[in-house]
Amino acid sequence: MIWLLNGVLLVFLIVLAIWALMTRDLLVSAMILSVYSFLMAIIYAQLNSPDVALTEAAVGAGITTVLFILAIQKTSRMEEDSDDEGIQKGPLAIVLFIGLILALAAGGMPAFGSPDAPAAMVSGNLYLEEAKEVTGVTNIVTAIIAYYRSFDTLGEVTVVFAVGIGIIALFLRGREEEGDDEK
Amino acid sequence: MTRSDIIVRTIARLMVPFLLLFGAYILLHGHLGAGGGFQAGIIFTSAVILAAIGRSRLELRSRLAGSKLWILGITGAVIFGLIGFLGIVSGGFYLQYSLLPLPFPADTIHAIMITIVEIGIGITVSGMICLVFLTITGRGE
Repeated sequence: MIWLLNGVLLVFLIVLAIWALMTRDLLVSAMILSVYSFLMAIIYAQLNSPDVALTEAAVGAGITTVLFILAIQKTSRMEEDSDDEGIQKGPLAIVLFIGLILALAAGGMPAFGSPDAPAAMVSGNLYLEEAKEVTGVTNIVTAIIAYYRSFDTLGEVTVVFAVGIGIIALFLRGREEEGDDEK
Repeated sequence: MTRSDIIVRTIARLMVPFLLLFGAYILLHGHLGAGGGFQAGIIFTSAVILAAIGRSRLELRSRLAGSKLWILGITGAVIFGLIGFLGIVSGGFYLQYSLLPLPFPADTIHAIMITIVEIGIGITVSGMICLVFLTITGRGE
Protein backbone atom coordinates (compact mmCIF):
# COMPACT_ATOMS: atom_id res chain seq x y z
CA MET A 1 0.00 0.00 0.00
CA ILE A 2 2.98 2.35 0.43
CA TRP A 3 3.19 2.82 -3.34
CA LEU A 4 -0.36 4.23 -3.25
CA LEU A 5 0.64 6.89 -0.70
CA ASN A 6 3.75 7.73 -2.70
CA GLY A 7 1.83 7.86 -5.96
CA VAL A 8 -0.85 10.19 -4.57
CA LEU A 9 1.83 12.46 -3.07
CA LEU A 10 3.80 12.59 -6.34
CA VAL A 11 0.66 13.39 -8.37
CA PHE A 12 -0.16 16.14 -5.86
CA LEU A 13 3.38 17.52 -6.29
CA ILE A 14 2.97 17.77 -10.07
CA VAL A 15 -0.48 19.39 -9.74
CA LEU A 16 0.80 21.90 -7.18
CA ALA A 17 3.85 22.77 -9.30
CA ILE A 18 1.70 23.47 -12.37
CA TRP A 19 -0.79 25.44 -10.26
CA ALA A 20 2.01 27.56 -8.77
CA LEU A 21 3.23 28.34 -12.30
CA MET A 22 -0.18 29.20 -13.72
CA THR A 23 -1.61 31.41 -10.98
CA ARG A 24 -1.30 35.18 -11.36
CA ASP A 25 -1.39 35.92 -7.61
CA LEU A 26 2.19 35.59 -6.41
CA LEU A 27 1.11 35.27 -2.77
CA VAL A 28 -0.98 32.22 -3.70
CA SER A 29 2.06 30.92 -5.59
CA ALA A 30 4.28 31.24 -2.53
CA MET A 31 1.70 29.44 -0.37
CA ILE A 32 1.42 26.61 -2.91
CA LEU A 33 5.19 26.21 -2.90
CA SER A 34 5.07 25.99 0.89
CA VAL A 35 2.53 23.15 0.68
CA TYR A 36 4.73 21.55 -1.98
CA SER A 37 7.68 21.56 0.44
CA PHE A 38 5.54 19.99 3.17
CA LEU A 39 4.53 17.16 0.83
CA MET A 40 8.21 16.68 -0.07
CA ALA A 41 9.00 16.50 3.66
CA ILE A 42 6.35 13.79 4.08
CA ILE A 43 7.88 11.84 1.21
CA TYR A 44 11.38 12.15 2.72
CA ALA A 45 10.11 11.08 6.14
CA GLN A 46 8.38 8.10 4.56
CA LEU A 47 11.69 7.20 2.87
CA ASN A 48 13.29 6.96 6.36
CA SER A 49 15.40 10.09 6.07
CA PRO A 50 14.26 12.31 8.95
CA ASP A 51 17.24 14.66 8.63
CA VAL A 52 16.32 15.65 5.09
CA ALA A 53 12.63 15.83 6.02
CA LEU A 54 13.40 18.18 8.92
CA THR A 55 15.52 20.40 6.69
CA GLU A 56 12.90 20.45 3.94
CA ALA A 57 10.11 21.35 6.37
CA ALA A 58 12.15 24.06 8.11
CA VAL A 59 13.86 25.60 5.09
CA GLY A 60 11.48 24.89 2.21
CA ALA A 61 8.16 25.38 3.95
CA GLY A 62 9.28 27.87 6.59
CA ILE A 63 12.12 30.26 5.81
CA THR A 64 11.78 30.25 2.01
CA THR A 65 8.07 31.09 2.23
CA VAL A 66 8.80 33.95 4.62
CA LEU A 67 11.45 35.32 2.26
CA PHE A 68 9.07 34.97 -0.73
CA ILE A 69 6.34 36.85 1.14
CA LEU A 70 8.79 39.58 2.12
CA ALA A 71 9.88 39.89 -1.52
CA ILE A 72 6.22 40.12 -2.65
CA GLN A 73 5.60 42.77 -0.02
CA LYS A 74 8.56 44.77 -1.32
CA THR A 75 7.51 44.49 -5.00
CA SER A 76 3.95 43.78 -6.17
CA ARG A 77 1.46 41.03 -5.48
CA MET A 78 -0.13 40.43 -8.88
CA GLU A 79 1.81 39.28 -11.90
CA GLU A 80 1.57 41.75 -14.79
CA ASP A 81 0.37 40.82 -18.26
CA SER A 82 3.34 39.88 -20.37
CA ASP A 83 3.78 40.57 -24.07
CA ASP A 84 5.12 37.20 -25.22
CA GLU A 85 3.26 35.38 -27.98
CA GLY A 86 2.55 32.01 -26.41
CA ILE A 87 4.96 29.08 -26.62
CA GLN A 88 8.21 29.71 -28.48
CA LYS A 89 9.41 26.87 -30.64
CA GLY A 90 13.20 27.12 -30.22
CA PRO A 91 13.30 26.90 -26.38
CA LEU A 92 10.58 24.23 -26.44
CA ALA A 93 12.71 22.09 -28.78
CA ILE A 94 15.76 22.49 -26.53
CA VAL A 95 13.76 21.61 -23.41
CA LEU A 96 12.24 18.54 -25.05
CA PHE A 97 15.67 17.40 -26.30
CA ILE A 98 17.29 17.72 -22.87
CA GLY A 99 14.27 16.02 -21.29
CA LEU A 100 14.66 13.12 -23.73
CA ILE A 101 18.35 12.77 -22.80
CA LEU A 102 17.47 12.80 -19.10
CA ALA A 103 14.74 10.21 -19.60
CA LEU A 104 17.20 7.95 -21.45
CA ALA A 105 19.80 8.42 -18.71
CA ALA A 106 17.23 7.62 -16.00
CA GLY A 107 16.78 4.21 -17.64
CA GLY A 108 20.39 3.37 -16.70
CA MET A 109 19.94 4.10 -13.01
CA PRO A 110 19.52 1.25 -10.51
CA ALA A 111 15.96 0.37 -9.48
CA PHE A 112 14.39 2.33 -6.60
CA GLY A 113 15.61 0.93 -3.28
CA SER A 114 17.66 -1.74 -5.03
CA PRO A 115 20.19 -3.53 -2.78
CA ASP A 116 22.53 -3.86 -5.80
CA ALA A 117 22.86 -0.10 -6.27
CA PRO A 118 26.46 1.19 -6.09
CA ALA A 119 25.56 3.50 -3.18
CA ALA A 120 24.37 0.53 -1.12
CA MET A 121 27.15 -1.83 -2.29
CA VAL A 122 30.34 0.21 -1.99
CA SER A 123 30.38 3.38 0.09
CA GLY A 124 27.21 3.25 2.19
CA ASN A 125 27.95 -0.01 4.00
CA LEU A 126 31.37 1.18 5.15
CA TYR A 127 29.84 4.13 6.97
CA LEU A 128 27.02 2.04 8.41
CA GLU A 129 29.46 -0.52 9.77
CA GLU A 130 32.22 1.59 11.24
CA ALA A 131 30.70 5.03 11.96
CA LYS A 132 29.36 4.05 15.37
CA GLU A 133 32.69 2.65 16.62
CA VAL A 134 34.93 5.31 15.09
CA THR A 135 33.00 8.47 15.87
CA GLY A 136 30.83 7.48 18.84
CA VAL A 137 27.85 9.05 17.09
CA THR A 138 24.70 7.04 16.45
CA ASN A 139 23.29 9.33 13.77
CA ILE A 140 25.21 8.29 10.66
CA VAL A 141 24.16 11.44 8.81
CA THR A 142 25.79 13.64 11.46
CA ALA A 143 28.88 11.43 11.44
CA ILE A 144 29.23 11.85 7.67
CA ILE A 145 28.51 15.61 7.72
CA ALA A 146 30.75 16.52 10.65
CA TYR A 147 33.47 13.86 10.46
CA TYR A 148 33.93 12.05 7.17
CA ARG A 149 32.97 15.06 5.05
CA SER A 150 33.97 17.89 7.37
CA PHE A 151 35.87 19.79 4.67
CA ASP A 152 32.65 19.86 2.68
CA THR A 153 30.74 21.18 5.67
CA LEU A 154 33.39 23.82 6.39
CA GLY A 155 32.93 24.98 2.80
CA GLU A 156 29.15 25.07 3.23
CA VAL A 157 29.44 27.18 6.38
CA THR A 158 31.72 29.57 4.51
CA VAL A 159 29.18 29.74 1.66
CA VAL A 160 26.35 30.57 4.10
CA PHE A 161 28.51 33.31 5.60
CA ALA A 162 29.40 34.67 2.15
CA VAL A 163 25.72 34.72 1.15
CA GLY A 164 24.85 36.74 4.25
CA ILE A 165 27.67 39.23 3.64
CA GLY A 166 26.65 39.53 -0.03
CA ILE A 167 23.04 40.31 0.84
CA ILE A 168 24.07 42.93 3.37
CA ALA A 169 26.32 44.55 0.78
CA LEU A 170 23.49 44.50 -1.80
CA PHE A 171 20.81 45.96 0.47
CA LEU A 172 22.92 48.50 2.32
CA ARG A 173 24.32 49.77 -0.99
CA GLY A 174 20.80 50.25 -2.35
CA ARG A 175 19.83 52.07 0.82
CA GLU A 176 22.83 54.38 0.59
CA GLU A 177 22.01 55.26 -3.02
CA GLU A 178 18.43 56.04 -2.03
CA GLY A 179 19.77 58.30 0.68
CA ASP A 180 21.89 60.14 -1.91
CA ASP A 181 18.84 60.68 -4.09
CA GLU A 182 16.96 62.22 -1.22
CA LYS A 183 19.73 64.75 -0.68
CA MET B 1 -5.19 46.53 16.06
CA THR B 2 -7.95 44.16 15.00
CA ARG B 3 -9.06 41.18 17.00
CA SER B 4 -7.40 38.57 14.76
CA ASP B 5 -4.19 40.53 15.06
CA ILE B 6 -4.25 39.92 18.80
CA ILE B 7 -4.65 36.18 18.25
CA VAL B 8 -1.77 36.02 15.77
CA ARG B 9 0.53 38.03 18.00
CA THR B 10 -0.29 36.10 21.15
CA ILE B 11 0.23 32.73 19.50
CA ALA B 12 3.44 33.88 17.82
CA ARG B 13 4.73 35.17 21.14
CA LEU B 14 3.79 31.92 22.89
CA MET B 15 5.61 29.84 20.29
CA VAL B 16 8.98 31.58 20.66
CA PRO B 17 10.35 29.91 23.83
CA PHE B 18 9.23 26.47 22.65
CA LEU B 19 10.92 26.98 19.30
CA LEU B 20 14.13 28.09 21.01
CA LEU B 21 14.00 25.00 23.22
CA PHE B 22 13.34 22.76 20.23
CA GLY B 23 16.23 24.37 18.37
CA ALA B 24 18.58 23.71 21.29
CA TYR B 25 17.35 20.12 21.43
CA ILE B 26 17.93 19.63 17.71
CA LEU B 27 21.40 21.19 18.02
CA LEU B 28 22.63 19.20 21.01
CA HIS B 29 20.82 15.98 20.09
CA GLY B 30 22.01 15.95 16.49
CA HIS B 31 24.53 13.18 17.12
CA LEU B 32 21.87 10.83 18.52
CA GLY B 33 18.79 11.51 16.42
CA ALA B 34 17.62 13.52 13.48
CA GLY B 35 18.95 17.04 13.23
CA GLY B 36 22.15 19.00 13.38
CA GLY B 37 23.58 22.46 13.10
CA PHE B 38 21.85 23.55 9.90
CA GLN B 39 18.37 22.55 11.02
CA ALA B 40 18.88 24.07 14.48
CA GLY B 41 20.04 27.35 12.97
CA ILE B 42 16.95 27.50 10.78
CA ILE B 43 14.68 26.77 13.75
CA PHE B 44 16.35 29.50 15.82
CA THR B 45 15.75 31.85 12.91
CA SER B 46 12.07 30.93 12.72
CA ALA B 47 11.81 31.76 16.43
CA VAL B 48 13.23 35.21 15.68
CA ILE B 49 10.79 35.64 12.77
CA LEU B 50 7.85 34.68 14.99
CA ALA B 51 9.10 37.12 17.61
CA ALA B 52 9.17 39.81 14.93
CA ILE B 53 5.56 38.91 14.01
CA GLY B 54 4.56 39.00 17.68
CA ARG B 55 6.48 42.23 18.29
CA SER B 56 7.74 40.87 21.56
CA ARG B 57 10.70 42.04 23.57
CA LEU B 58 13.04 39.62 21.84
CA GLU B 59 12.34 41.32 18.52
CA LEU B 60 13.43 44.64 19.96
CA ARG B 61 16.64 43.08 21.15
CA SER B 62 17.28 41.49 17.76
CA ARG B 63 16.60 44.86 16.14
CA LEU B 64 19.30 46.34 18.31
CA ALA B 65 21.65 43.47 17.53
CA GLY B 66 20.94 43.62 13.77
CA SER B 67 24.19 45.31 12.89
CA LYS B 68 26.22 42.90 15.00
CA LEU B 69 24.81 39.64 13.66
CA TRP B 70 27.65 39.17 11.16
CA ILE B 71 29.90 38.65 14.21
CA LEU B 72 27.85 35.51 14.93
CA GLY B 73 28.46 34.31 11.36
CA ILE B 74 32.21 34.79 11.73
CA THR B 75 32.22 33.17 15.20
CA GLY B 76 30.68 29.92 13.95
CA ALA B 77 32.99 29.64 10.95
CA VAL B 78 36.04 30.44 13.12
CA ILE B 79 35.01 27.81 15.69
CA PHE B 80 34.88 25.24 12.88
CA GLY B 81 38.22 26.36 11.44
CA LEU B 82 40.02 26.44 14.80
CA ILE B 83 38.75 22.98 15.67
CA GLY B 84 40.33 21.90 12.39
CA PHE B 85 43.65 23.48 13.36
CA LEU B 86 43.59 21.66 16.71
CA GLY B 87 44.14 18.52 14.66
CA ILE B 88 47.36 19.95 13.21
CA VAL B 89 48.56 21.21 16.61
CA SER B 90 48.09 17.74 18.09
CA GLY B 91 50.26 16.24 15.37
CA GLY B 92 47.70 14.97 12.88
CA PHE B 93 45.99 16.34 9.81
CA TYR B 94 43.58 19.26 9.48
CA LEU B 95 40.22 18.28 11.03
CA GLN B 96 41.65 15.05 12.48
CA TYR B 97 40.29 14.73 16.00
CA SER B 98 41.64 11.38 17.14
CA LEU B 99 45.05 12.64 18.41
CA LEU B 100 43.71 15.36 20.71
CA PRO B 101 45.18 14.99 24.25
CA LEU B 102 41.88 14.56 26.10
CA PRO B 103 41.35 11.95 28.83
CA PHE B 104 38.58 10.13 26.93
CA PRO B 105 38.46 7.19 24.53
CA ALA B 106 38.76 8.09 20.86
CA ASP B 107 35.10 7.77 19.98
CA THR B 108 34.10 10.10 22.86
CA ILE B 109 36.60 12.72 21.64
CA HIS B 110 35.07 12.42 18.19
CA ALA B 111 31.57 12.86 19.56
CA ILE B 112 32.59 15.94 21.60
CA MET B 113 34.34 17.55 18.64
CA ILE B 114 31.42 16.77 16.32
CA THR B 115 29.04 18.45 18.77
CA ILE B 116 31.26 21.54 19.01
CA VAL B 117 31.46 21.72 15.23
CA GLU B 118 27.67 21.39 14.99
CA ILE B 119 27.28 24.26 17.46
CA GLY B 120 29.56 26.35 15.24
CA ILE B 121 27.44 25.50 12.20
CA GLY B 122 24.27 26.39 14.10
CA ILE B 123 25.69 29.78 15.21
CA THR B 124 26.72 30.68 11.67
CA VAL B 125 23.47 29.59 10.00
CA SER B 126 21.16 31.22 12.53
CA GLY B 127 23.18 34.44 12.58
CA MET B 128 23.33 34.82 8.84
CA ILE B 129 19.72 33.85 8.06
CA CYS B 130 18.49 36.17 10.84
CA LEU B 131 20.63 38.89 9.32
CA VAL B 132 19.14 38.26 5.87
CA PHE B 133 15.62 38.42 7.33
CA LEU B 134 16.29 41.57 9.35
CA THR B 135 18.04 43.26 6.42
CA ILE B 136 15.20 42.54 3.99
CA THR B 137 12.55 43.74 6.41
CA GLY B 138 14.59 46.89 6.98
CA ARG B 139 15.07 46.19 10.66
CA GLY B 140 18.84 45.72 10.47
CA GLU B 141 21.41 48.28 9.51
